[in-house]
Amino acid sequence: MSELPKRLERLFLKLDRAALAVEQQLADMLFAVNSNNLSDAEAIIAGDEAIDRREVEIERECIRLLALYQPAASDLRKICFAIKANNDLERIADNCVSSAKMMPILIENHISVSQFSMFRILSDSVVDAVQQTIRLLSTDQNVDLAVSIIRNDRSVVDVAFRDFLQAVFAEGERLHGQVNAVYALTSIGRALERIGDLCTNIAEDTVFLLTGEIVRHTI
Amino acid sequence: MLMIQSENFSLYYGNKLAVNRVSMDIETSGVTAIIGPSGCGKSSFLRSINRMNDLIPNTRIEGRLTVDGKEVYDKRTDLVQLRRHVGMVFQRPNPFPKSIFDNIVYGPRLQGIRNHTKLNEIVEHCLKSAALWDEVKDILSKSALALSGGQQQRLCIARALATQPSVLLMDEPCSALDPIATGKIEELIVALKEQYTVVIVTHNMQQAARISDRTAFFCLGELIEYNDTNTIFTNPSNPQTEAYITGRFG
Repeated sequence: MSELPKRLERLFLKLDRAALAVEQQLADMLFAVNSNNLSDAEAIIAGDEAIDRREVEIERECIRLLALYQPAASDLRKICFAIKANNDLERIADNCVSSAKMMPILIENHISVSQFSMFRILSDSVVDAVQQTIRLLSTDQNVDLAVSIIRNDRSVVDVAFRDFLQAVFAEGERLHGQVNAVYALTSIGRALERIGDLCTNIAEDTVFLLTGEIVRHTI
Repeated sequence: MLMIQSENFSLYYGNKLAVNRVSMDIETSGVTAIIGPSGCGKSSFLRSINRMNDLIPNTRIEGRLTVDGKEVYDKRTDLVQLRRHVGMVFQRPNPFPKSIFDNIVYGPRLQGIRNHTKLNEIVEHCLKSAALWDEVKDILSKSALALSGGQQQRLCIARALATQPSVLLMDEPCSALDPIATGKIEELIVALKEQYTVVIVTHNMQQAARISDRTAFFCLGELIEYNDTNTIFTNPSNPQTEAYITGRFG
């Protein structure tokens, strides 16, 4: 038997660890924006470099495995999945950084996302999506869970994002003259919504990993 | 449209069952690859299509095998016509110890073509089809044995084309060639599939994935799975196929 199964196992362990690091970034980012703490936000921006390095390392390993073993069938699907999920995880972290970069604007304008009850609903739904996605990556690879993540993104995350935007714009009168603040709030909301989309991507790729079916744009 | 059909086709070497009740339809044009571990019956099945196994003593068959609707193993089958219709390229290049020109015209001459202009046309056409013309057009009278291994194999393909077959059988045609020559043969096979029904046996799974439209996986004489090549190599339905192409058995 070739060395490939062992190397794939190690690859998925690395991917799992990367996912946990990204989950921590999200938790830290939400803590920072809820508490308007600038130093926490700066720590998130600084922490992105380690996540970027990890992403490159995983991608290099995927390319090595493709070149050395010319995998097929489930092995090929695993590597394709790892390449895409790895990229999606890194982009989740990027969205955390984008949100953290909005912090100075919010502090300057004396506004906090915690003023918006809809933000809590949005952030909780995104945290749940990320946690479910990590279950997919590690302990609980199954199609039903993947499909529920995809459906929840539309029925919960996207709805919560719309409601949050409406709440921000409804506050427009009070925020008159604080265009930057509105921009920062909507940017953070948009970043969370994108994180939900990226979880959906990983879930769709999990269905491909498990069944060989490409379900993008069909569920 | 189907070119080759087998129905519960079995082949025995004496008491040994080499091909076990294989039912498989091969469509006209395109490349069909047959893969499987050594001794799985893939070459035996391939060689049955133009009855090359008749040369092995004590072989017998059961079931049906047709090429272009005609029974391969019917008593009335004209073997010369069958092999004209179904050309074959072997693992090792086997040019005749004659000139390049004479290798190509060997079959047409046997068919009674004597006109030199016509023979010249055949040589040029076949060598061009085999992507060899530019390399040998000035040395047609030289011995075929002086060519490189890759050139010899393309010459054998050109020779097989000279009798205007409908089907080309290839039994590991690149196994004795280096990667450059292999690449040329693969390009040639892809070009030929528009006009010919190509059936290739290969141990090189990446080659099967690169050049074939459909892939059949054989194991212990049985056809285990037969499907579009993309499906076989990304999402095979049979666990045995999966285990073989991921290198976990075989």
